[in-house]
Amino acid sequence: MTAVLASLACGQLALPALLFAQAESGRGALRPYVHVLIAYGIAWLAILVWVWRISRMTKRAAEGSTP
Amino acid sequence: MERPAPARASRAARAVGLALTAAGVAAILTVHWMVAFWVPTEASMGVVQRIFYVHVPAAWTTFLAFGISALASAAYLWLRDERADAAAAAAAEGGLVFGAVMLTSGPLWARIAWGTYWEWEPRLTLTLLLWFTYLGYFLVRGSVADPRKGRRLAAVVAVAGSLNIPLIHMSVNWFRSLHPGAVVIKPDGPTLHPDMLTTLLVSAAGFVCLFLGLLGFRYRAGLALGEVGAGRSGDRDAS
Repeated sequence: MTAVLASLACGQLALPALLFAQAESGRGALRPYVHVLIAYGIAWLAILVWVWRISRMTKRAAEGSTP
Repeated sequence: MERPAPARASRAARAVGLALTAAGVAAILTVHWMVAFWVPTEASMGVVQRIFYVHVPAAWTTFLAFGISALASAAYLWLRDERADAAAAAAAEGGLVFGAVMLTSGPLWARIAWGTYWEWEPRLTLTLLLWFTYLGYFLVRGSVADPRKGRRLAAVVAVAGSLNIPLIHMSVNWFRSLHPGAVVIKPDGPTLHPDMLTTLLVSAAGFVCLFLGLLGFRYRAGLALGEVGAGRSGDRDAS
């Protein structure tokens, strides 16, 4: 589960840098890039929250099954 | 000494879940590279169209998740097998997660493409209704004093809510809609640029693999925690 979280975090950190590197100059031109980054960021965040919730449930289940 | 069959099956299920999750993460990381470097920029909308590669796969995964939840709920209503209820709850939770991705990425795209975050037009409204229906699924489960009755009522909500899915798909054809029509799932084949279609399919495969992998972990954790409640075999008798 830690490996999954680390991979997701790396992916989320890499995309903004890659897209901004290709962005044209000027404030208005950057706006679509910001929307793309927020959309991908929210996607990762939602998935990470679900992974975290499942990992917490799994941990609780493991603790519960220990005699 | 050889392990008992249930232990072996559990280990195999865990390995399949891990493999699916890892494949999903790898595919989505690949899509990041494709979106940043490889796929062509759409001519009329520009770079914001790249939200398409997260919005559409999230939508497909949401419909898959809610579809699984509805089928498992129907199985629960028929067989009263609590494993079916656990599967339905796990799939509904995944559907809410991917649905939230769909419902937030769409408005971010629409703000640039349409000039507004939201329009109360048929597809958007029906999709929001679907998401709230499955949120209601969990509210119903938790709001009834008798857990078995709560599970049965929630299963009815899941089955009834799923009837909205084909309506959402067809709404762009049946009603005047601001939302664009289908470009992939249509009778005369996809009308996308081949590179865009490839990126979309890799992303969709990644989302579906990640969902199925996590669904397996969520299902087993729910069962192990006794989320479905006590009386695993007595449900039919009680009703």
